[in-house]
Amino acid sequence: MTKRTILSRRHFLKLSGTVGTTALVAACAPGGAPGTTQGGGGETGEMSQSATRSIPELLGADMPGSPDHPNGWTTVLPDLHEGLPPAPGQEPIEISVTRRVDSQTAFGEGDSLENNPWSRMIEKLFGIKLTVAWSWSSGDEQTTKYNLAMASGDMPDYLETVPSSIFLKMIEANLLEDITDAFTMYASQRWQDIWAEYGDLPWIYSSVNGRKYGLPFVSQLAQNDHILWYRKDWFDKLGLSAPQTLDELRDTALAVVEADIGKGAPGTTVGLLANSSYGANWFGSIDPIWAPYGVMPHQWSDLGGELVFDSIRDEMKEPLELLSQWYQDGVFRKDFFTFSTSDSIQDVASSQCGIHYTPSWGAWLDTVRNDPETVWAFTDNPAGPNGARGRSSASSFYPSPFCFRKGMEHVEEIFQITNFMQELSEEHERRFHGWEGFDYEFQEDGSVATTNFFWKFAAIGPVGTRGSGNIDPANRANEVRYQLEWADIPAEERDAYQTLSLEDPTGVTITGKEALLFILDTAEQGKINAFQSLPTPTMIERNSDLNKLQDETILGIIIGDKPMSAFDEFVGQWKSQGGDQITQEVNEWWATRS
Amino acid sequence: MAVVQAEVAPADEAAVKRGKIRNYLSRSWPLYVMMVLPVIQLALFHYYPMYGVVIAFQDFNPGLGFGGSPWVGLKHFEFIFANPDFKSVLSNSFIIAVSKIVTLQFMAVSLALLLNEMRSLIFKRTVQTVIYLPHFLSWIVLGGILLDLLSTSGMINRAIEFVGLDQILFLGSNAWFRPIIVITNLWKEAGWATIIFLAALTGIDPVLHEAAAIDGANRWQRIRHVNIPGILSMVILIACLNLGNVLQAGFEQVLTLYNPTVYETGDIIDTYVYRAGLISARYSMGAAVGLFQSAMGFVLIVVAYRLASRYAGYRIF
Repeated sequence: MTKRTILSRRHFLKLSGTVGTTALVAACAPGGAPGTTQGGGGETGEMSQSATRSIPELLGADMPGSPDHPNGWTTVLPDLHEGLPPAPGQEPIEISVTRRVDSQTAFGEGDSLENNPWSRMIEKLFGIKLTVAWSWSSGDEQTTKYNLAMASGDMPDYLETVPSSIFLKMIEANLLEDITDAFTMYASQRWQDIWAEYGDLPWIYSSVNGRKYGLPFVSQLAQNDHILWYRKDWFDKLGLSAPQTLDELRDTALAVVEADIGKGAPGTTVGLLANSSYGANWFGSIDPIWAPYGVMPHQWSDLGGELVFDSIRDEMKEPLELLSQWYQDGVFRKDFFTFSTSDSIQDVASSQCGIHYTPSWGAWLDTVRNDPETVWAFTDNPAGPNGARGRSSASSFYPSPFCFRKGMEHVEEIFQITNFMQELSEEHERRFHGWEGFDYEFQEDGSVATTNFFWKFAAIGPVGTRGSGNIDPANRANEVRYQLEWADIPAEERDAYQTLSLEDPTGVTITGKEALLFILDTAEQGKINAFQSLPTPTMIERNSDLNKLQDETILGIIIGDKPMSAFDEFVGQWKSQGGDQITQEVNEWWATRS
Repeated sequence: MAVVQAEVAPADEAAVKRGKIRNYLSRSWPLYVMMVLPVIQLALFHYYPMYGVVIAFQDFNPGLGFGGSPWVGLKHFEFIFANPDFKSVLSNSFIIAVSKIVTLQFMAVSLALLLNEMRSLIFKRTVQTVIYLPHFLSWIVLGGILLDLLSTSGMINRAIEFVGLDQILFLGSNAWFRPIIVITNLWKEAGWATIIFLAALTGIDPVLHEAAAIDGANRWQRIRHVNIPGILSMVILIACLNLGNVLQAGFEQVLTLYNPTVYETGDIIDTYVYRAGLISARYSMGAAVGLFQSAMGFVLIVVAYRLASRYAGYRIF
């Protein structure tokens, strides 16, 4: 499976290379001559002229893009399915959905989750009204509400990101629609082709006995792959250079602590960011310290055809000793283990920490807002003793799928909408950037600025969902390549669409985009969990206890509360308390794959 | 009236009974009407949901419901008791809960006695308000404050360093975790717990105090020989009733303050159920632990009631 992923990454590079070139060609016309913006839009729009003719009339004021503005552009909408748009006056079909919301789910005056530019477009083009059965904001609430929906028998038609444990219970209770055939029948060819690239990865978490019961939640390639970010302004002040090896990283971090250069109270500068999830997590992770040694806590590795749980391998000892030494030296915050991943962000946002392993988006925008002197830079992950560099990498297909209620009558419609949205948002030459007045606004001086609203939160399904928003895992990378080409166009010659795509008063976003490309170029460093499947029966039963054992042992050793010998004890206990059985189950699964 | 009826028709005893009941009802029906709502409430929200304990004996699936989920007998109980972790979790809960009960009781009684001695009413009221206040803060809020105070860069460690001692890793130390839980619980709840003892103290007959004063007893002697015996039955009663809580170590408090390095001394039944049962969606296992906890609580309450009725003369039935 590892092979397959690497293969698809290579393919992705090839693919995005071609897209990058077309992007350049497409970008030249409007970029070179601002006056011809609309002509440029028309050129790319030829292939879907039949749709563009009627749709703008139909959508009226809700048409995305701003063709009427002197600095505006035309969004080219994809073709509609036969028989669409519906005849005027026809009653819309109602489909009830569940939605995740958070502090960033915001709408303009008078708009809401159920009524916003996107939902109005869907209603006009597809004759479908999406009603929100209920929404949730936190993980616990999500679980509780899905449970209630199951228990009361009142299941909404389309369920956003059902957690794995609930998904299995829903299957057991026969509450979900089998979409195996629907996918081949209704999903667009391009959609099916993209997922075919990834073999069975997209379906691992949503199929049971070979039948598909949901669409996977897709994240971006390298969404949570880490590189080392550092405060260039601090490093310059202290005369430090970017660390290239783990030893250098330790010395650099200690130098920063020593200088106490952070913005907090005296003596609170943090050397290297870390938190209680010592394995891979999404912010302030230390996985690039484990990976050079060939292990990644919580992950499974393929050792000569056998899957082995990394957390119990002997190779854990060396990095464990290293981390324990670093902790003692003062590289980490003394009580880092009481911090959760999201607490870690505060250390960075409050300028107390200047070195951290985070994803490409990890140069936290807040730091620049809080402290305008901040300059972030990234460097390749420092190498281990044998020169190896590494980090944890995740599959882009996540375990919580989008599901259809058993007997749901409008499966096809959901696929139609998703096909449409996929074309619209993942073919960047269509130049879709939401709606004027909603996602962006023209200023009085003729320039354009984004608002704090984002069209994606208004959408449903695998495309356009908060935190996901795509079918193609390479979408973001393609988009970045496409947009970075425009950075060469002088600012005053960009049209409004290009300006919006590049808008970045702080410079952080562009650095982040470059970081993403850098991570993709070094994709071979990624260490992917070899076990990609729903939890085995023994895992469901024993994992919370085994994780507790592992967490207290590993953190205990790092902070010096437990001796190194505690690790061997832990390995013995792990094996006898169900670990051996889990290993057996995991290898049975592995055997069915090869 | 009943007597008259009996004389008229001595054979018709049933009629007499009916008359008695009618008589009784005509007098006390308002009381029964008043009881209707509480009984409905009790039945609906306390007795009806008890039906849910059946899931402890099933592999519960909300989609299949109580009726459809497969029965598995004592599987979940066997799993719990075979689990080496559960013993430590059980003993942690017991130790933390008992320490909390004992210290809280002691502190509340002492505070009440001291408050009772205060002459200035304004000062007394102010102190009372101040010490009641933490009771109204949630553990989630307090937890954030405490984590900050106890962190290595927090105020307490700053003070320790100022005196010239080494930092203490309060939150990562198995030696410190339980004391922290007990002390913070005292700080939060001690004031509130004085209320009942203060009430008991006002119930002591002032004549006793006057007599003691005339006999030459000083304040300390009056506390020892008048106040303490005066509230002793209340102290015993509260202590007995608290027995029912010896496995309730305080879920929110521990959840906000613990971390993996103190699982050994800090992981309690409720946090265990939270992690193993709710987060992993193993509701049946969670219900089994809950049922076990309730059964223990039930036994202890019966014992406590017996003790309370024997030593404090406290009776409901």
